Amino acid sequence: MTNIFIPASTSSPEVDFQFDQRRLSLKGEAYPENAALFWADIVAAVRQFIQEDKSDAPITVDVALSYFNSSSAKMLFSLFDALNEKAATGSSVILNWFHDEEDDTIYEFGQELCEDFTHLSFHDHATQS
Amino acid sequence: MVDTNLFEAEMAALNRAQATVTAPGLDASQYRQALEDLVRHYQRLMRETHRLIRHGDRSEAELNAANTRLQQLSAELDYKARHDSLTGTLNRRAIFEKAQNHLQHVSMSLIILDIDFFKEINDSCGHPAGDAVLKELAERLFSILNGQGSIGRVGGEEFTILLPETGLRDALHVAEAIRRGIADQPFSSVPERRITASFGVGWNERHTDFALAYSSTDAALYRAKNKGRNQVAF
Repeated sequence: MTNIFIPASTSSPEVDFQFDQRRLSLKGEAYPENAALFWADIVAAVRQFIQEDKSDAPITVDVALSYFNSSSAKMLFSLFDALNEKAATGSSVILNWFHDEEDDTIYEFGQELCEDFTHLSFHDHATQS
Repeated sequence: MVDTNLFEAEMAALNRAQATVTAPGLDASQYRQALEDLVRHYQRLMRETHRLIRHGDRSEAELNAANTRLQQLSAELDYKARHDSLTGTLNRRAIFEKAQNHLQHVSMSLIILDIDFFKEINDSCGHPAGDAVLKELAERLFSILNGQGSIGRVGGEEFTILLPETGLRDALHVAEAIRRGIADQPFSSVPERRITASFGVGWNERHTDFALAYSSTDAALYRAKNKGRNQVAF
């Protein structure tokens, strides 16, 4: 499985998926013009990784998105859904959810992910700007 | 071009359900299976929609709050760009713009006042004392004018007052009232000194060129200075 690195742009986050290290990271803002197009390959790669993965070592996912639009949120659901299924059947998946300590919108979205994707090992991290 | 859309999973589920609807001769267990599949996706769709709407509402509320703050800051910035920070009067650019605007529509009297020997106050009492005098003087101007006209600080110790639709006689009364308001009462920051100011007054008919109006009133101010200060000239 080839690692993925996509540098951040003004409207899309940095994507750093080191499948060999079992460490996936999203960082920045996400409001790409075509969210489905931007996220489709990323979600597909994660699905493929999960399908081919034989190891049951934990997977760590770091998400530090300071803003994402609704289309990106919809695509993130697909991503976390795939990871949640992996966690339900194999490796534990640790989700580190980073947000500014004053950003209630991102904080609450994380809390809802934690409620909806119960197999993920969710860790909230409030950061200072 | 990759054909992707946000509802790929939902589309696939819908297609399966439609295929079941049109397929002939399925048995009950197959219908049940199809229905269960549809229910699962329907629940997921509802949950995601619920989350998305909440996320959208929260983002919208945040944007509204940010927008309100931005409007406040913009108004503050606009105020600061038009006012003298020390005295709270209009600044030179703002008062000149206002004067030009008035003269396009109405006649206007103009008062220019300059504090006498202000440099000495600064030199002997210090700049903070000088600043305090300017502030107190502006307060007296606001108080005496009581909402009439506009006040601007056009230079270090020089102020301009615009009195639209006011005749020369009334403008001279206003200038005299201000002169007394300054000269007859000590200033709290320099109580030991007598502060006075000199005044030029001019009346200008509608459409008078502002530069002309200003320079003729300024000439009156210098006549007041030359005649011994603490007086009004026109």
